Amino acid sequence: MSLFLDKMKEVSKTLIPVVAMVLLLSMTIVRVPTDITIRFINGSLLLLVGLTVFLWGVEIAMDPIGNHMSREVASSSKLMKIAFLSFLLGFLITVAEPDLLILGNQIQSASGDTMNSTFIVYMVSLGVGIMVSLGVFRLLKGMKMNIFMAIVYALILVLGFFVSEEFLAIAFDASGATTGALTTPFVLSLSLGLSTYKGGQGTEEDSFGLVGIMSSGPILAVMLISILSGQKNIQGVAEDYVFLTGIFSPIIDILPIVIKESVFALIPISILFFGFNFVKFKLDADEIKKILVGLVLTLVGLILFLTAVNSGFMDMGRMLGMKIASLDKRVLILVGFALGLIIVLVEPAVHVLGEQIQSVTGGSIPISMIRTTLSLGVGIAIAISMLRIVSPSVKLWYFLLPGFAIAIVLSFFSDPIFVGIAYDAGGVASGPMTATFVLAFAQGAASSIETANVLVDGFGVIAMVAMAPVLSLMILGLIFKSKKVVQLDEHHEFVEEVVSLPQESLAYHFVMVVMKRGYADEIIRFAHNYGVGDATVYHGRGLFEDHSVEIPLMQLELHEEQELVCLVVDSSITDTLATNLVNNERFEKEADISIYVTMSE
Amino acid sequence: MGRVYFAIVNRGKANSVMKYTKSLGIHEGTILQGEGTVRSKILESFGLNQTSKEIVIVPVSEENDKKLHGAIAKKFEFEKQNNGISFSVPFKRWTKESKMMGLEQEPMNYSLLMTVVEEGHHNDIITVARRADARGGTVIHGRGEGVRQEAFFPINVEPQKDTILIVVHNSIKEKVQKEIRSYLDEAKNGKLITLPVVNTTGIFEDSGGVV
Repeated sequence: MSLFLDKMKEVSKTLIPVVAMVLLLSMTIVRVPTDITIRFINGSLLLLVGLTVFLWGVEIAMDPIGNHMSREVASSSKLMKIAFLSFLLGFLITVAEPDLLILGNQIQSASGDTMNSTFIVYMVSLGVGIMVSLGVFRLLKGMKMNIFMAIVYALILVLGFFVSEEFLAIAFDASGATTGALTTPFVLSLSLGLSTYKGGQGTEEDSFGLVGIMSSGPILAVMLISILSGQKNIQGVAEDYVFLTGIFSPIIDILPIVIKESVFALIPISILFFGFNFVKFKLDADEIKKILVGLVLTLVGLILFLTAVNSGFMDMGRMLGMKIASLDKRVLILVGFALGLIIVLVEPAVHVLGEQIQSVTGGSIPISMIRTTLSLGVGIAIAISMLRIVSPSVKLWYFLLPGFAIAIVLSFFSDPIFVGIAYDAGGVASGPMTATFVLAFAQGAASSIETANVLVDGFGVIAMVAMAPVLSLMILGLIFKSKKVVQLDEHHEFVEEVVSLPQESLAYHFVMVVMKRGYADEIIRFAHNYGVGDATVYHGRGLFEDHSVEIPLMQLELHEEQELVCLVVDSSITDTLATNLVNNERFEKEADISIYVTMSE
Repeated sequence: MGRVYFAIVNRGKANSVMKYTKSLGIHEGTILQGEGTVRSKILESFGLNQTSKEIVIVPVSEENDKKLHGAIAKKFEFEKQNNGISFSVPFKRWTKESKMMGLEQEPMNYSLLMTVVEEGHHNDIITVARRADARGGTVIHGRGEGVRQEAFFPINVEPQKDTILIVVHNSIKEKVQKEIRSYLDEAKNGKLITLPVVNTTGIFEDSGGVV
């Protein structure tokens, strides 16, 4: 099976529940016009292909691009260069984000044209640039994620008292809009690359969190705009929505817009990369070819995906929201919850994040566990959003600010790697699916309920979707931490032993050492004392003989992270090395090492 | 003399292999993530021929080794193409009491060729190995020792490596070794390690498909 089929299987697993549920609803409790249903089915097929191709392309192109760019940033010896380069990366990927321009236009019309959409786009991009820059500093300097985010959100909480509820919603929506289909995978791979170059014990924790930090930029920017301009209330009403008609004509109408948006979104990353390649990296032709193929796949996939969502999913969402809301309010909340559970798994960035968690932790954090937690979070978020639409007395800030406040407190008790993942999950969950299908569902519902305001209630759904997973994953991190064996962080220096080496012989032994993650470099340094030069380290997961970790509620046995060190050892010193390794108290007690020796040619 | 059992299966299947080994009373083992390659001219020319694999590594006794080979091959249908392979390498587990290294002679018809190269060059190795009739290989990503380097923020440069596992019948072993060595000599980088293999299940001989 090739990577393509693997991905298609993975995507269809997440898509089928959505299609099944929507079709079930549209055939039972609500009546949906035939053309919308057909467009939805067509859209699902298009989405399946589009998302598969997109994820495929991202894996091929984004990883190397993120890796090379991050090396350029991390290996710099000048502070200003690190600051400027990371600012530029953040700024450029945001300014080209199509969702942000749409949001800018919405704010412009909502403010009665007192605010200019271009101004908003630039301010938000500036905010993202600054936050990415700070985020890169945090990562390289090794500042704790929970402390960093506590400061950022404390600032947001304080500013939150000075802005109106409408702007609070817009601010958080802006953060959802900037973490688009393309930016999130790119920033994820960037932070993975940076943490790899930083190295050391914190590599894993540092691989996450940059998306979370980045998405706080727009929140701060929009809040500051509101406070400085004195703009408090949103005026105007949403325009009457007109459903698209026909089966294929909407696709043809939407396609040119989507192509333009997708190309624009991809341009800044490509220009930066190829610019740097021309000046600095100078990769060989094969690698460039591969990246180009990956970029083309990414582009084609993105176009298909966005076309599918816009032509097939939006009207369906709106129609379902309208009809169900006029039917029964409790059903609306229930459907909202169920929809949230499954829709988040179709978000492109959720797949990318899952892939990254898997590779960073060597698979020791089960992805199914992360997905379930994300689902629950988003389900509850959408249920609450529906509750808010149904009853005007329920305000957004009842949930939003306390939610983040609790998340900050939990972040000090949660497993460190989950802190980064949790903050990232907010940006990851609020992707294009939420921005179109879920938003349309909410707006449809709001248009059927007299007390609701389509514009005000529409804003805020994304904000909830961005908040809830942060909280739910922090809680998962708490459970996880209580189950995990504590690892010692202190650095240990060896007493150099002088070993008299026998004469070199011709035979070699192959020595494989298996241990807990984090000890590989020590083992290698230990082996250097015996004249062993070359070593290769592999990172994986597994079980140890004398202990295992289980999460009782979920019936899961957790694998621990392991490292495997392979050494080629001169046969005359194998005995000494292996015996000394086995007898090393620290390795035995803390690292759980086991040693295997075999012949090698 | 112990064994280390290696199973290379499609991504996501490693947990069930581990579950089975647990039922045999073996409570340890390691899973690495790797990539296999699909043989397809079109995909290859674009560099898109990788597929996700997992490598399960379990230390076992001789007796359990036989059981594992049979049971896992049956469960995951190793007789069909692309489902996976398994093989065992004789290993001595070093304990505090271990004294001398000595391997008894067993009939070994296969060998495991482990080639370690700089990241990104795994396809070259598979290409040259195929020239000598090897079927294909599995790539594991690894790293060399981390070296501290002072940039503005101190960073740890870990040379990234690709390791290619190729299992070959001893009749073509030398041919494959020669091809790989001449590539490594030319590239002035990388190393080849050859280990004995005692037991194999899965498809090794016919052409096409994945190893």
